[in-house]
Amino acid sequence: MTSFTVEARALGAQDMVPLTRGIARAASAPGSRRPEEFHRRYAAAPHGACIAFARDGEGELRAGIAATRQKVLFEGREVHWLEVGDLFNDFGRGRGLCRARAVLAAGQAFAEAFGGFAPEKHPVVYGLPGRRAHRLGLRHLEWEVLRSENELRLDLARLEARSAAGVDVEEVERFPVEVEGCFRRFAEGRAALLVRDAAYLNWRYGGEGEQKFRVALARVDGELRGYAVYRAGWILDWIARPEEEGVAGELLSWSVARARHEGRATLSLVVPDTAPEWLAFQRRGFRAHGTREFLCFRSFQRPAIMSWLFKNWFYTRGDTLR
Amino acid sequence: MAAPKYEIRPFRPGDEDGIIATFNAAFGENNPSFVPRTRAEWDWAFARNPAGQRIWVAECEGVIAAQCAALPYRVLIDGKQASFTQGVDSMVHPDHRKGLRRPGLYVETARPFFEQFGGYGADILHYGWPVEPAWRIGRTFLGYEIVRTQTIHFREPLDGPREIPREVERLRTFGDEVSALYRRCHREWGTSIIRDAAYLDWRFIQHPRFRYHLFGVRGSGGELRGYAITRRADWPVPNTALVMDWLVPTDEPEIGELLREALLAQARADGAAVVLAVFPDWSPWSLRFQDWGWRVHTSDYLLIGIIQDPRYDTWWLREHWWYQLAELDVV
Repeated sequence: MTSFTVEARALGAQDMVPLTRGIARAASAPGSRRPEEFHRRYAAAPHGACIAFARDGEGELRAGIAATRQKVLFEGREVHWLEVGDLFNDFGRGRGLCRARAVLAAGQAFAEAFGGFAPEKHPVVYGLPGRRAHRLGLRHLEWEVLRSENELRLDLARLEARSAAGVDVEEVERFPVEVEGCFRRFAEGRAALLVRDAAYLNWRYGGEGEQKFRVALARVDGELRGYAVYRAGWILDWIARPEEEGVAGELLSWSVARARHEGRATLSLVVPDTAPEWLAFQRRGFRAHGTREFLCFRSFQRPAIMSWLFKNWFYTRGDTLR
Repeated sequence: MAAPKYEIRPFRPGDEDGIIATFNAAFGENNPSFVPRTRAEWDWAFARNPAGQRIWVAECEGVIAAQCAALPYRVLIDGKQASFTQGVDSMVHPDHRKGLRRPGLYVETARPFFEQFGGYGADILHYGWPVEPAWRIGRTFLGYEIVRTQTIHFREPLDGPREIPREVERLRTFGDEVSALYRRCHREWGTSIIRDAAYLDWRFIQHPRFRYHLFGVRGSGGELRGYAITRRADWPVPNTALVMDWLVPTDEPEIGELLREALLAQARADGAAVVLAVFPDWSPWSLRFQDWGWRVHTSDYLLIGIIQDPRYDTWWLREHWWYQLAELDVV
């Protein structure tokens, strides 16, 4: 029986080549993701990244797991969670369940090395696994489903535009430092959410070319009160306090204009169905649609069990963007 | 004191009254609004279910100390007949909860249950709608998986007619004609409980506690073109009109509109504050009800399954299983 050597560590520059090659070899459509994407996602992440590799007896990389560290407001404290971006396994080797042994070894090493109490470790690991990773993770790595994800989708033909006086919307290339204050106000009363500071936002939404994100800031009397991130028919991130309907309305109008400019028929977003935004967007004409996604997590620290995260974690599609 | 000895075995005739006594002790504990279960209700659920019976018990000195039970349903899955079961009445008598080592008496009773009724070739799916604490026990010891975190469609009935449209008929029973309607609707689904006269009469007409309103719309030849079933309840919130079952071909929205008006009229007549429905998120009816003013809300309920056939998984069920509140025994 093949035995594996596992390595779990903070991702370093020397890990990028094996990571990229390992994922390409395991992927059903090799080459579909470029090395620059991996570099931007992992090496350039503002709070770093973590990896675990499983190598066979010949030293060849057979499986791995890679995650970015995300700063999170967790019951008022700043901690780091891990967002799993890639779980890969060379299923071309071996037969039956043995084929999964490498990825299980990597997954277990990853959890042991990085999962645990803050501040040293990460109370929550989360991600949107594919079908095979979902099966493996739930059965063998103690992952849990947090939510069968739904998206909110707006038929642009039915939008009733509402303009709000006194709200200025400006499209920008980069997020300013002051966005963190806007985020902190939005975060009041929310027990868990990724910290949206300029470093995070400019990393997450800093793509170029066809993948370029569009960012709009909403100001009232010069003060930044909200923002929206748009790409390809999706509002990927959204910060606007629900009671500030004028800010939300203007950011939505900007998003709709962006979508129409691209000839899109619909505009979508993801927010938890427990968040006030879930019903607020429905009142603005959005409809709930099913997706094929299951948001999954593994918890290492209370209170972050399923029911608590389900009720308290605010996230958007951008928080799991691949 | 000697440890109690339990006989864990399948149900046998004569257990009925002991099961009911334990049910009332277990679920009535610290619950002032609890209404004790009657023998008529037990007989309806477990003796007269047209799809059969699934019960294992743990007996201790003549007392039913624990039960693992399910209601079976005949289903069509990928065009073939099979069975699903809904886990119900999972319980341990309060006098037998203490001093037991994990995994506990319930799990010890459940394991032979699943050995008998699980596995390839037996019931394809064992499902339920637990809240999180029960889910956690089931996940840890019995292999529960989440099919869906359940959302619910809500709307207020608002002002309007209190009489059902004249084109809508109050059904007294279901005849064989309902099978043709079911087959039409099922074409768009991968799997569903078979809506035939035997199931529907048992589920809604013979129910010993609840009275349901059954609305149907017929075509010019007298054929059934759609039906909707509702009742007023205080679950999950007080004064709710529950849409229990909805069977309308998606290409007949005008039939749906008539039945929608009947549901709303009945809700107004009953003084209901909200009208609640459940749809699989892939169904066109989910979207159409939203267009009709229903809003999709979160809930604490998890649709869970133990999938006992390797050809299916939670992803497949989430995208192919048509279900309604009818599939939940407590309403």
